[in-house]
Amino acid sequence: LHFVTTVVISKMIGKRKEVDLNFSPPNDEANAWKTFADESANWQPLTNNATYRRRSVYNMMWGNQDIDLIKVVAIGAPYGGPIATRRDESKILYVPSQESLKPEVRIYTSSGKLIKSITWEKGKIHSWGWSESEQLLILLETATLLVYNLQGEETTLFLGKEIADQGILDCKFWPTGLVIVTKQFFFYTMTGFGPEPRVMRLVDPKLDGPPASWCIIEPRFSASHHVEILISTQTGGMLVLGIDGVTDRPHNKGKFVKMSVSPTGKILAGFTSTGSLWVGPLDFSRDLSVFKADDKPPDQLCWCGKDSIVLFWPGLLLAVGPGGKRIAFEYNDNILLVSEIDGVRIITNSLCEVLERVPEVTEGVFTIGSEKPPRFLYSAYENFENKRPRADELMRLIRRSNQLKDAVDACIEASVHEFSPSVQSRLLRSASFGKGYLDYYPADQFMKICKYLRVLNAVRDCEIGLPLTWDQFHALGDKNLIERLTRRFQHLLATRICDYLNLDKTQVMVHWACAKVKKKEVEDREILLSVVPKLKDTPGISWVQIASAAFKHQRKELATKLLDYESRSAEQVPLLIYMKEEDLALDKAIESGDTNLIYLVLINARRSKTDVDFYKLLKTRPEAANLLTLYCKQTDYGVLRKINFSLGREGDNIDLDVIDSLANVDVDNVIKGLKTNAQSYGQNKQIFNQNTTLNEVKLLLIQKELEAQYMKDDVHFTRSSLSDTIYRVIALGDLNRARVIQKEFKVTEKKFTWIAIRAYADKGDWVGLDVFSKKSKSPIGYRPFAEMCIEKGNNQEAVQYIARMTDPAEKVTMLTGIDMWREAADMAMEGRNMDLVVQIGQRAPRREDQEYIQSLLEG
Amino acid sequence: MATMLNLENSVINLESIRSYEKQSFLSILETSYSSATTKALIFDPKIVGPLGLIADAHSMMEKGVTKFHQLTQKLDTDCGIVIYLIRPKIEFMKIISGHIKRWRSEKKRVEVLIVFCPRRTMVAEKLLEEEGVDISENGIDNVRIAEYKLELIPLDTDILSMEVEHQFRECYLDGDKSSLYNMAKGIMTLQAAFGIIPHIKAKGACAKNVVDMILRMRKESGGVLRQMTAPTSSSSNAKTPNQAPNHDVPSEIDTMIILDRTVDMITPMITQLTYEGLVDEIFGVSYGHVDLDPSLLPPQKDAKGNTITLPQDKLVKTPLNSNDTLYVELRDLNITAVGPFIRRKVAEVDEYYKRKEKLKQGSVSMIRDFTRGLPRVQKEHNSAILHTNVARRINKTTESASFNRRLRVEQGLLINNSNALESALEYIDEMIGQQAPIQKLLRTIIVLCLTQPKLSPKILENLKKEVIESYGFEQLFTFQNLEKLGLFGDNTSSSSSGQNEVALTLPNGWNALKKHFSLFVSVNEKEPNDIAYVYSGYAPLSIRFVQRCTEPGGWRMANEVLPGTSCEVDQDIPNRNSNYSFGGNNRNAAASSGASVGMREKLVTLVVFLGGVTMTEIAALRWLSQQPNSEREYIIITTGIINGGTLLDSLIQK
Repeated sequence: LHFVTTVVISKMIGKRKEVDLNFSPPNDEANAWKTFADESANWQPLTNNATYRRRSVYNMMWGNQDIDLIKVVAIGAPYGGPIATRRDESKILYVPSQESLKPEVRIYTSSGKLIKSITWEKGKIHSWGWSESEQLLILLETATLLVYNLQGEETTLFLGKEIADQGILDCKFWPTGLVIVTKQFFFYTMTGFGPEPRVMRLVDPKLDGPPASWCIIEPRFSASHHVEILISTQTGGMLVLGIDGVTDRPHNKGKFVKMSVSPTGKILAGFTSTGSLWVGPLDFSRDLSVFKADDKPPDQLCWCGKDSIVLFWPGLLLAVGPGGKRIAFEYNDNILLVSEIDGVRIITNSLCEVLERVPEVTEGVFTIGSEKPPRFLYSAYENFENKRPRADELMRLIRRSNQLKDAVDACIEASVHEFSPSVQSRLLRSASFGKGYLDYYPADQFMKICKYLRVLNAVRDCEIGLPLTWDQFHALGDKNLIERLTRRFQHLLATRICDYLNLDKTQVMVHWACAKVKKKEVEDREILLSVVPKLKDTPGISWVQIASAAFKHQRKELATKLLDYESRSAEQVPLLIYMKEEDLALDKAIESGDTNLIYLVLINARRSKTDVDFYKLLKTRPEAANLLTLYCKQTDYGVLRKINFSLGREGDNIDLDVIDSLANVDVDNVIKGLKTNAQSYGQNKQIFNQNTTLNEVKLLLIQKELEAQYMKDDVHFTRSSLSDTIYRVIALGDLNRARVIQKEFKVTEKKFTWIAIRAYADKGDWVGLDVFSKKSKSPIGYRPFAEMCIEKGNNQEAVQYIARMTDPAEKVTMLTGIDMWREAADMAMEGRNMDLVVQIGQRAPRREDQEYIQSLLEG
Repeated sequence: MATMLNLENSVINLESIRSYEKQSFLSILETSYSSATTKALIFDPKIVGPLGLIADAHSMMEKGVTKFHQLTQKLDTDCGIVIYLIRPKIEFMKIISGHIKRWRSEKKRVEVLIVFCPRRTMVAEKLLEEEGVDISENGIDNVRIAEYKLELIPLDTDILSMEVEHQFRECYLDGDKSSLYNMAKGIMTLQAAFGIIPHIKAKGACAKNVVDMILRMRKESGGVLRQMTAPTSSSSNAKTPNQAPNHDVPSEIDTMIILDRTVDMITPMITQLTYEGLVDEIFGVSYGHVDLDPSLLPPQKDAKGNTITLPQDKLVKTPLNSNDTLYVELRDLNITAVGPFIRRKVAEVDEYYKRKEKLKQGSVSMIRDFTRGLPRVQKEHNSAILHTNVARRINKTTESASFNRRLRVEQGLLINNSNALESALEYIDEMIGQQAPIQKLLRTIIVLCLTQPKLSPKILENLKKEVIESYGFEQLFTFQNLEKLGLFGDNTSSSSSGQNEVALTLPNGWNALKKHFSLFVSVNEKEPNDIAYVYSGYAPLSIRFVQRCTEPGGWRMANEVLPGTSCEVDQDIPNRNSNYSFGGNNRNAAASSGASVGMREKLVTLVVFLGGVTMTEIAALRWLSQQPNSEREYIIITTGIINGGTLLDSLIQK
């Protein structure tokens, strides 16, 4: 059974080519299994509770390119990132005849494998650095920043004339920006390396001479969330330069000639001009470590993890921990130090090493003679492998201490900090061995760690060259790891890891496809054949990204074909516009139903197309035309008329003209305008509209006359309807004039009567109404008269009109409705409707009314 | 302000939708700013109402908002941050750019956040730029742009509305389909929360449009729907759905029926007869509130129980929703049943108070029961007073001769009795003579045109002429609008513009529909046995159609009879047999009923109205849901609540 576990674990974490050169010479595989190597052999205590170890990770593969760190300048990126080198221009070097004289910038993996070599013809490099996303940033003396991705593709950013004119004194980088000191001692920051960099000049710190040294506090660590700069002045002062201004930070440590802020952003390490290393918090409130070293400042000073610093002088590497404790290492060649969050990477001509603090849990497992359960468990397993009874003894010991579970946990945890798969598997097997003695142990954590270790082992392979530690991997995140692999063109490995860890792999696939379409020598058809079948069944692929890559490489046709696979119109349409395929863009926008997209196309097409083409575009697409019409109605009548014209909506244009005519302030202009409009309607065979418009003209003319006539009454007639006009004339008491207008417009007698009733009643002219009602028989009966009186609250007046109504039942209802019970009863009596009289009598609320009705019935 | 509408009784968890919308709004307010702390919120007047249904002023103040202003040309604020919450309307852009340019010239440092609702648009941004505002990030004007995707707002436990003003005109007359796109987005949000809806039926061109869009959006999303995880963690109470991403939500909704308003234009045009419908017609309901004369309200008491006198000249905003248990029973009744109902309720309340007398000799448990019920009864008592007053006001209208005349004319036209045309024309003449409100007039004219086959051109022309003479020349354009929509004119010829289809374009269309859908049923309004009770005998076509659609085989028949574009789609449901329970089971507990489709008593059915829905139609759907033998529970989704008057408002030339 145990054999099975062993095999399974090896399978789970994967196997890697062993490069454990220093520690475990596996001369005899069989023997090596029997006695576990002493992993703690080359540990070195730095303080009482911190032990450090130096491990060799890779044999540098650059051997055949004869990289000698004496002859080149090199710079490395954190998180096991790439290394860039270039010939050291400051040194006179012998160049062998077979080597090109042209300088080159080369990018290597951490294992020394060449990724890209760029022939350098851009002029003098001032400084360089790596960005967060592994872009190589090269600042030229001319204040131009060149940004290279790992494939050597270049973007140029100009930092501005201001900086160029002053000249660059110094420049330092942080993962997402840089700071420049000009020769006039002004500080500039630049944030972001995207297409629109933000360059900003900071407050003048008023320096008299160049700073003795300076360093950056990254925005994520500063209180202002903006980059801050620590400047050690020539006089030994310390200035903090931030977005809000300069503050002085007095201290007595002397002038610093080299400074570095810890990876946590809280602690400063500075090397003074008097040859001391001082480490302490940024406010200088206490000393964490002081150490008198050489007078000569170190070539390199960098942080090793969170709490120690490494200093390098040629020949000597010194690690300094809290309290000034130190370990010395001998290096004869030049080396490159790359600071990591949990240690430091040391690149020599032949090796890539990692110096780091030994994790506590690892110490617990590997320290020989330790009395701790994890160590017992590890030993027990060793003995078990060797079939020694001591194994059982040790297990009993652990079980008695009741700490078996902790021991298993510790072995699992320790495994993640190991680079060597065989050590990992030994630890995991120990854990698995211990697990067997436990009643229950959840497998999740174990499984998860195996999974991640397998991934880590795969990317640590020297061909890939990403020596990520467990902690670095977790700080970076799995998505970032995938990105890093993609950038190194490790698409296959990246997709496999995605599948394995259940991550989104679309970006990897798109990146791969983009690289494919860039290959100029391959035919469109061939590219489609290789790309489409692999990608089309994966949801969420951004075809737009691939298409735009194709378009950027002058392959418009291929781009259009690729775009057809894109289902997200919001992505597809902008690219089509960019590709000047407005017609297709508009169709796709309409198809999506997203009006915002339709507008986007229209706005652009209007700019880029001729009028004729633009309106042609609209003609067959009513959805788009409608939207544009709506927009123009609020902004631009000129364009609106053109649209209407080109779409054959002549009638709509006349309507617009009418609205324009009506908008005139002067009535004569309105009349003039409408006359023309009526003609246009006629020509467009809109006869009803023509007649109506002509009638309006006629009405306006009369209204003008009326206004002149009734000037003293200050009554306005224009812009009111015909009914209103008649109403006003009657209200002014000129019934005859109203009659004339009635005839002029053939207003029916019925309608005229309605208007008259309202006109008189609204005014309260009851006499007028009475006179009007008696002039001729009402064509609408007398009920409206009565109702109007009631509405106006004049019930008394209503009675006479009710009396003139014809239907007795209606009369009664009207009367009772206005609380006139006796009159209602009288009315019912007239009609000889006795039942009704009785009913009224029953419903009448007042006693005197009831009595009256009773008397009627009796009488 | 009044308490928020309680959504606990929703069939689907609408509370989650609302709290999601609230959180996303508050998180916009929260967006971090540099130094200034005081925020002024400037809003588009039409957004206040809908927003009030989502978030209260108090919660906005907690996010640092100190001032609230309506958007006007003149704006004086001493706040360092100004947040505009506006629809992307052209006129607003001009006002805002005016503000920004003024601050710039005064050298006043103001940070501006423009929040577009429901979407940011190219056009609005372009206009701002054209007006000379720098909207680039970190630009000189400190302007940032965001969007607040307020799509569907819960108006009640069974209504979600977009609350878009003039949507009918925009969509059907002007051809601006933005609202349809937003509706589709809203439906996608619902599907993200409540699962893919298996069955979809759509009637009308716009309805089909929406179906196409949601199918497309689902494809675009690659099968993964937008997760409704509110951006702040504070909201992670049990009610927020989908805390477990990557698990497909089971379908809680069975069917969705999408209807174009143009499928049934008659129903909104005729006078409503349900209580809520009449409240809307007479007082006007907006965003679930009605503005009432203070004299109609029950006596108001402050916290100490003292009576407050309200200023008599100011209308009081009164919520109308299912928080009021009495109103729930009342709102959908036919007006003739309202009186008896309220009388019964008042009697019940009186009865309850009478028990107090008997308590003197009663046991402790009796007293406890009494006091326990007291708050509810007091609430019902207040509600009874309110609705008695409102009903009295309504009765004044409904009992008037003119109201009954109108009903007779409408009924005559609908049934198409022998002298319908004649009496309708006479009635129209009378209204013109009385210069009745034009909306009222046009409603009758539209019903006339839609129900009467082959109106002679002379009658039509004369109607137009009469209206223009009485209401002004510009009504010429109103008629053009109505003609374009197929609401006026000879309904036997196809409508002029071609892009709109009003369903009643068949010769004798109305008469045929009447028969097929049995729209006329004699009912007892007080004990209804058919949805026709809502109109005292006429079953609204739209709802009858919905009713038929859900019957087995009914869709095919109903769809054939009613002309117009249609579609029917069955969406495939993602297979989730094994994976679902893993880590995602908290969701089940969160859903209001926690039951899957199979276990639920009734199938949840969404009815989507594009172009608005009337209170009466809602009442009819509710009645259907409440029937004991009903298999379905209806949820209404609409672009807005309308009635004939408000619908026509936007079509009338001003």
